[in-house]
Amino acid sequence: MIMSPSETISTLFDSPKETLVRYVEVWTPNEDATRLTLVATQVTGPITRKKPKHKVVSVAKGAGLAGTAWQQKAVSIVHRDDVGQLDRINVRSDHDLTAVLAIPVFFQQEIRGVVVIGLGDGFGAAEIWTRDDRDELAVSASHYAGLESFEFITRYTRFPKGAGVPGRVWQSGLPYLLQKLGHSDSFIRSFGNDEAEIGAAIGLPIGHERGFPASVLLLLSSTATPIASLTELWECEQSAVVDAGMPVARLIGVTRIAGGSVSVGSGSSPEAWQSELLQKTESAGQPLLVTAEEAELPTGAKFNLSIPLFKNDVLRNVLNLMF
Amino acid sequence: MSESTTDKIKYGLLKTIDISGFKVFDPVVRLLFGEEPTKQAVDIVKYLVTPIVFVLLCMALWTVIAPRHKTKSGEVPTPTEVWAAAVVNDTLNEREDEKETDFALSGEGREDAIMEVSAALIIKEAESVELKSDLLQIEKDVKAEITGKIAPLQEAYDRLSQKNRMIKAERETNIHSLAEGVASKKAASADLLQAIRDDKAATEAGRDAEKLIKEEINEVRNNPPKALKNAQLASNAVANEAGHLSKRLDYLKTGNRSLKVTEAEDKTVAALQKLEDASTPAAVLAAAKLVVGGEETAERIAEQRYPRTATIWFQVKRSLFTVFIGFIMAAVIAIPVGIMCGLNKVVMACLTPIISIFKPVSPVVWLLIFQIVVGAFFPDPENHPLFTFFASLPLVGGLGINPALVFSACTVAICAVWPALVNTALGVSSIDQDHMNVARVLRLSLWSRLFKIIIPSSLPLVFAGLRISLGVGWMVLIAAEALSSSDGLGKFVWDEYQNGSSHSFANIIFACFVVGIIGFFLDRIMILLQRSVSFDDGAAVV
Amino acid sequence: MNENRYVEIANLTKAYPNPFGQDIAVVKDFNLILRKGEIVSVIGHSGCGKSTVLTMLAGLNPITSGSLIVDGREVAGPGPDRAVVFQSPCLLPWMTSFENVMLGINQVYSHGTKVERKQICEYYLSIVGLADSMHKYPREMSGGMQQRVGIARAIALKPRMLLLDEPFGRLDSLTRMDLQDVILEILDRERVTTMLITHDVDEAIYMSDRVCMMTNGPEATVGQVLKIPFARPRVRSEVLDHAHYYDFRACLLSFLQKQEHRKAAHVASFSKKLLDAPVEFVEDTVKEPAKEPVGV
Ligand SMILES: Nc1ncnc2c1ncn2[C@@H]1O[C@H](COP(=O)(O)OP(=O)(O)OP(=O)(O)O)[C@@H](O)[C@H]1O
Ligand SMILES: [Mg+2]
Repeated sequence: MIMSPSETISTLFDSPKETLVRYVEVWTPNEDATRLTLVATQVTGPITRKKPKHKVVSVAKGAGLAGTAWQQKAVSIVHRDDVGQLDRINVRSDHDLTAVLAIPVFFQQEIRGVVVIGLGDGFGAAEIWTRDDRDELAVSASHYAGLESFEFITRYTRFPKGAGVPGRVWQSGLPYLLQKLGHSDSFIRSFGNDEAEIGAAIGLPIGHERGFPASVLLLLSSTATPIASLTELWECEQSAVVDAGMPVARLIGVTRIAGGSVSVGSGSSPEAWQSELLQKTESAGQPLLVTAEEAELPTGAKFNLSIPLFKNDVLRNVLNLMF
Repeated sequence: MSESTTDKIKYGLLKTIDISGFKVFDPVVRLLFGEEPTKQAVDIVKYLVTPIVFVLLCMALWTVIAPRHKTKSGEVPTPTEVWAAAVVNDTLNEREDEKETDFALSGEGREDAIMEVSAALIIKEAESVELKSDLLQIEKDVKAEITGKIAPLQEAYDRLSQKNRMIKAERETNIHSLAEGVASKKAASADLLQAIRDDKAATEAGRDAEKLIKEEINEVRNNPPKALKNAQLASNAVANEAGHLSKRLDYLKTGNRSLKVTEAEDKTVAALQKLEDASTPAAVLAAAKLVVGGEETAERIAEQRYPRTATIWFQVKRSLFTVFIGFIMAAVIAIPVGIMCGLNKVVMACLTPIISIFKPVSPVVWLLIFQIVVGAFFPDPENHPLFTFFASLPLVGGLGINPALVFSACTVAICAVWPALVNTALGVSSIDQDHMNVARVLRLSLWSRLFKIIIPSSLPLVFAGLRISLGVGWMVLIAAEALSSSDGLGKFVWDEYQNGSSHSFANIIFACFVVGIIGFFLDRIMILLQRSVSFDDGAAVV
Repeated sequence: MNENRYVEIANLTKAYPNPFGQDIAVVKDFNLILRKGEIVSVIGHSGCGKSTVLTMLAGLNPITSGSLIVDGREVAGPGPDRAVVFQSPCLLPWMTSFENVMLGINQVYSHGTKVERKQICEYYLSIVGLADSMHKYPREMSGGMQQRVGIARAIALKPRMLLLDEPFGRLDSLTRMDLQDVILEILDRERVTTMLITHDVDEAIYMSDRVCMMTNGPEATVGQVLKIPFARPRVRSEVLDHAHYYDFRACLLSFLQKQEHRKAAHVASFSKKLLDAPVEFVEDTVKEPAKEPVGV
């Protein structure tokens, strides 16, 4: 089934599904990059916000979840049992959070922000793949919602450079959005995926180490409880980034998980609202969270999280997660 | 005998006949051991009896057809005549053997032999005389009988021809008168023409009738009773025998080597005596020379061989020897060159044009070329060290090795070299890649690669090539011998052809069988060799 | 020497020219690192290029690009340090099993005395269970026995690495299990780094420490590596009864099934690639599903 991106997006939020992500925080560094400040928080679905204790919340490098992710230059995961111990958690957990991830965003060695996402019940997974002594990627930390046998097999799975989604991301240093996993040939670990119907995988390179990403974050999104209502991975044209402030982004993939169908648009130019978002992200060079009030979003969408992804000194991609 | 030993013998036998290529006898062996008798019987009938019957049928056909075709050299011989020729040839050979021994006999042996042969000779001569008189009698009888039979026929013939002549004269006068009538316009020309035609037809008819009687006469004359022919044969045979015995006596007496030696030695003794008696230096010198000369003569005579006439078995031996030499030459060239070709594509590329051009050349051309080339090597073959060396060898010395044999062998070699070479190259180049990989993994040296892998693996094809080579060589050799008059089976055939006696044709056909049978056995031997080197049992094609 | 990176296969690529003279990469960017003493199985569909990888590692097949390092040394041509056992036993038919094994021993132990070499040969033949058939010719032995000789010949070389290309492919299942145990026993004792190519998922799990699953060709590469955590020495019944045995098995099977689909999709695009002028080969990450046929 092929639909134009705009057409699908216009109906996407008519009957929104519950997403696996229950809340999103964006932390950005202060002027001298000594602390990270929580600049935005949004919740999805039934979760309600706590009243913030302090007006301004910030952490030093190494402190708290965001500070840890910054220091370690790697995604930090806090699992269900430890979620309660998170210090400054600012949501009231009506529904138990099963895990919290802190995803650092770097421009070369420079911290550009940390995105913290809280995951709830449902189906889906977050895996952190790091390189072992034989140049193969293995899962070093992970969170699975459901998917027991998948989790089991993954423990014994290794990907050499270039193999599977993690291997690809690791080799190219670029993010990778893989859709229609049920049928796709590129998703190697199909075993264990029957019951949960993982529909899409998002591979993100995290950090840099000798020309390669230090690790790869793989988010697995199911049809029942997708990671986000709409996931877009934009590819930026490099030349445009270098000479003008305004990137002419190229859409390389849009995943719509509502209704279980997936639409694809490749190479189409962004619509006005998309351009605006991309431009904002580009100029900020930081993760950006905008709500429907702050910017024009498709009708029904609550907020959008944009994560800029750099390779070397160039902005190569922007990942949009819309809720 | 226990079950297993019988089985052992049985399978041993089966294997032997299989390896030797006589698989047709397989059911016979199985039947003897009582394995599935009905099946074996069916197999025997199918594959053994039927072919035998077929061959017998062919022989019968031959027997019937052969005498109907008359040739310049007489009738085509029947199988019986060919068999008789075989027997005659064998006898000839035996007699040569006897004479050869007689020639070399000395002392008491000789005395005994003389006694024996003389006694036999006397008996044979008596027999011969008797048979001759018998024959004369029979001839007389037959003559009388034939004359008796012919007389009435001749009479009838004479009568008929006289009558025909008379009638003919009458017709001619009639024609003459008619011609006159026509000239004077008294008679119609059509009548004259008809008369001439009638005359021609009548003359023809008369002649045919005469011919019939004449044929009858000839028939009687040419078909003397069997008795005469038998008597002739018997008489000839005994006369022959007697002749042979007297020849033997010659070799035992005057022609005997020991006698000649003694004679020469006596002369030397006499010369010695002379030497002692001589008083002048010139006489002494002459006598001494005589002594030395006498000694030499005695020595030479002592070494003399009996001058055999070439019989068929001698020719067979010589041909076999020649083909063997040629074959060995071919193998010695073909195998190393073939291996090099198979191993190295460049060598192969270099040799391909040579092989392609020379392979189709006729053996006749090679024969002529070698005749010229080899001839140039041995300007004085009688005293060439190579040939004197060969002549002194025990077994092959008597074969008369000479330049003709050398160039025949060379011709055989050059014609036989190609199949062996090509097959060896093929065997080496088509060696199983897996085996080569073993060699590569083990990093075998070139030497062990060659002797442990390449040669063993190509041996079956090498032998297949050698087998073809030997077959080609044998065929070529017979032609070469016929053409070059180098002693051997080919020459035997050629001589018989030139000779044109009444037995020649039968002899030629006999030689044909000999060539074929020897070729067959050579092939079998090669198959055996090929089988013995084929490692996967049954690679050989029979 | 780094025992963790005893055998290093990096970006290994092999291209063969197609009938139109264009180079088609059968195997592309194959990466795998083997630990010393490790047994790694390679599974994948027929024709994907498993044997190609193995023969390149053996040095029997030249590589197009990439690098192969065994024990710190770049592979350059075949050698007795990388013993190979193929599906067919490849014995020299004109030699007895003893002579076949001896051929290798003579190369490797050239310093030893004749008696020593003979003893070594007899030792290895007896550990593969052929003490009674030392002087038989290959044609007098069953396929299983021949393969045993092949194994003895390979092991007797004391190789750094053992390369097995479907060594049991032609054997019946009983003989196959027998030989699997024979090899495992030897490997447990001698700790030879081994690459085993197989079609048999159970064999892969039972025999190896890691299973390398290859994607389908052309441009085949490593799809996934699965660690098999069972301890050595292994007991077949224990392995089979292991709670997760069937998970591993299902994982391998589902990989192979997936590759089967991929193959079908590839055949079309690949033949197009063969026939057309050289066009960019587009990775099928965002391939459109085939249109439903309209009702007939
Ligand atoms: N010499 C060659 N020239 C061209 N193509 C070749 C050559 N050798 C192999 N190939 C191709 O390479 C591919 C891989 O072959 P390979 O023998 O490695 O497969 P495999 O995985 O071992 O298969 P199997 O499981 O059947 O043994 C095959 O598609 C084959 O067609
Ligand atoms: Mg193979």
